[in-house]
Amino acid sequence: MTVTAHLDRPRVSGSGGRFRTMLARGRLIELNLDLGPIRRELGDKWERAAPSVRRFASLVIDRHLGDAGSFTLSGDVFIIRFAGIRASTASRRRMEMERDLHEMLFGSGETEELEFHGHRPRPARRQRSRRRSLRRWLTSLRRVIPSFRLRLFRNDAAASDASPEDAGQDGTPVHRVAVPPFEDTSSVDPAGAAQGTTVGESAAPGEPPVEPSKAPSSPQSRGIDRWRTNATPAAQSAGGRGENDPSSRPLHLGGGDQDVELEFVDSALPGAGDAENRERLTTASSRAKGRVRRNSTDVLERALYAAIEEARRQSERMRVRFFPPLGTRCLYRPMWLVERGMLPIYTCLPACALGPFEFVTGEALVPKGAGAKKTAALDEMVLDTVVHDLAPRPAAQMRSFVCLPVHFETLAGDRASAYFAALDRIPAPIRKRVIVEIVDISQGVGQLATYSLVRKLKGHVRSVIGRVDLTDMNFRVWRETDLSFIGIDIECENRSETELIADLNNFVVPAKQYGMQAYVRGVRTLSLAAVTVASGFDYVDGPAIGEGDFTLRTDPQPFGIYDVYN
Amino acid sequence: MADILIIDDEEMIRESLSTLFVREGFTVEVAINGDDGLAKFVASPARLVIVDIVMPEKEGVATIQELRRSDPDLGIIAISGGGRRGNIQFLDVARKMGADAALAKPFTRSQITGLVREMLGARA
Repeated sequence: MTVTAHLDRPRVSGSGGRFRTMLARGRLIELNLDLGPIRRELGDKWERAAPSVRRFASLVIDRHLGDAGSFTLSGDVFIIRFAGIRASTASRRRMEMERDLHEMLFGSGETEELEFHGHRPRPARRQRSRRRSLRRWLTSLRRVIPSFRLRLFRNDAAASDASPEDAGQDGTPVHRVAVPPFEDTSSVDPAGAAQGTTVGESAAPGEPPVEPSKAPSSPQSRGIDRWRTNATPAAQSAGGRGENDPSSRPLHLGGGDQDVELEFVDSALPGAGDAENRERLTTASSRAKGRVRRNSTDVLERALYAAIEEARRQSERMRVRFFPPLGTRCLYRPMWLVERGMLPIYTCLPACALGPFEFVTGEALVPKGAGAKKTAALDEMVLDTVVHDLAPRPAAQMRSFVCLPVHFETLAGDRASAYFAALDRIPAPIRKRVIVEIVDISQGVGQLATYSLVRKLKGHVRSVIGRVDLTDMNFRVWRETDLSFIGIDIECENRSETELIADLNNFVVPAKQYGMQAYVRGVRTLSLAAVTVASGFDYVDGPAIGEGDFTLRTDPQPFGIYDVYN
Repeated sequence: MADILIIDDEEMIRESLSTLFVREGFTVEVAINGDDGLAKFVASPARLVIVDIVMPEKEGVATIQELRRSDPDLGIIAISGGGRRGNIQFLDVARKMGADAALAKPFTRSQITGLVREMLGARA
């Protein structure tokens, strides 16, 4: 690979005030990462593999770059801008990017076959350490790899559908990436730069400047989505690029479609429990297997297939380890709105099949203190099931609400971004019928942390309610967290009803004093139902009200106190 | 056979009502919840049952339903604590489910004794 370092005169087309300031201070270093050697290595497979290779490269660069710079793609060359680091460090990082990329694509054994500029063989011990690190990173990539895989298929399809205009002079399909060339700093649009969002760039020489925009960064795409170029059709055509040529669209390194795909990545998480996704991944894996059998030299697909398979195996292991293997469904149990005399909310209870007619739910499935991984796996499984159940329903028909429980530790843990992304898979009109119940907000959880989560969740669903411990009387805090109402679950309480009655009264009275609506879940008996209603709980749920159904009702059902006794 | 069976989970209510009716010349039996009351009623049927609504283990309305099924002529008075939402509703439910009369707590001595006399007199 050819490394072109412009250490003495960095060329920057402009990306806002931050980089210009760094440039002025001489702290911006621009290096190139050329994909040419990989292109030559792959030969005629390049056209099909190019999008995936670029994606891999983006991730590798992003991993090494972190927040200390930006990068963009021009042709087959990634232009990387390192900010705030020394030239030697930047050069080392760029070499590490090369190695990691090559190792991902071709395996570690072939690294020395390429003539990297400035590459020095590493000591064996350091190599092993780095490989371990790479393996760990590859594991973490399991969320992303399936989307590469699927995107590769899409690109395959796009390539097969390519029109003759897309072909090069020799008749081979040409993959075009419309990234405008970089210009001197004189082309920087001060107004745009002042805003830090738009920069004047030319899509082609002689063309009016187009307006690249920096898309809003999402948690999933942090780091990769720094550069996005919206070339005008005129500019594309001027550059010899057909408007309808999918391959001629700008390579988005962030925002827009990229975000959608990143969201899909999380939704395709094999551990998420979506049967459809599992089937899709299995199908994709089978296809990949077949291809690898047909062409054992296709190292790229083999690497992709291995990553997908590994992710799937891990997911299956987690499933088998955590939950009964016969399948999971949601039991929708009605929640009684006492004042109105109706059942407007259906709470989703995860139920794992032990046999044809036997299910386990609640704490039998995930006992308290089960661990964050298992809890997150359960929450994602529930969400996926709800998404599956809700997705086919027309929004107009959905008049009841679905209460979706999720543990606080899931929302605050490593799987939070995946969970939020999965929430977005619920069709937007249906989302207005979803209520998220944050489970196990403990007394130790700060008010601000809860408030932040609630605000974030409210961007995805209709409202957020919180389930706390029966003895947690910190209503002054809960009132400030923007929770719509606060509740408790007494289904697994081992205390006698006499003790429970006293606690229920003790809970609801201060809740009312702080002006909060209160709900109670898991009411097992008529006496507890009577107690909760008489105490003043606004919503009551449990076997005493209704056992629930695996089919979600779309209409609120009328329900009164007489129905409790009948 | 006792004249009155008092079913209430609150000991203070049980004792005060029991003292009141003993002074009035009635024989009284007490039970701490619906299950206990039904068991005592089966063992020794009373002429009149005073049942609280909100109780642990087995609450009042379900108890009234079972009492009524076992003895259609039994006199049943439902009582329930006042001041909270839903209680009046419960007393209505209790009436519809088989109680002959309903009193919201707190009630006066004359209210309850008058009602008991009236019902036992009618059934004498």
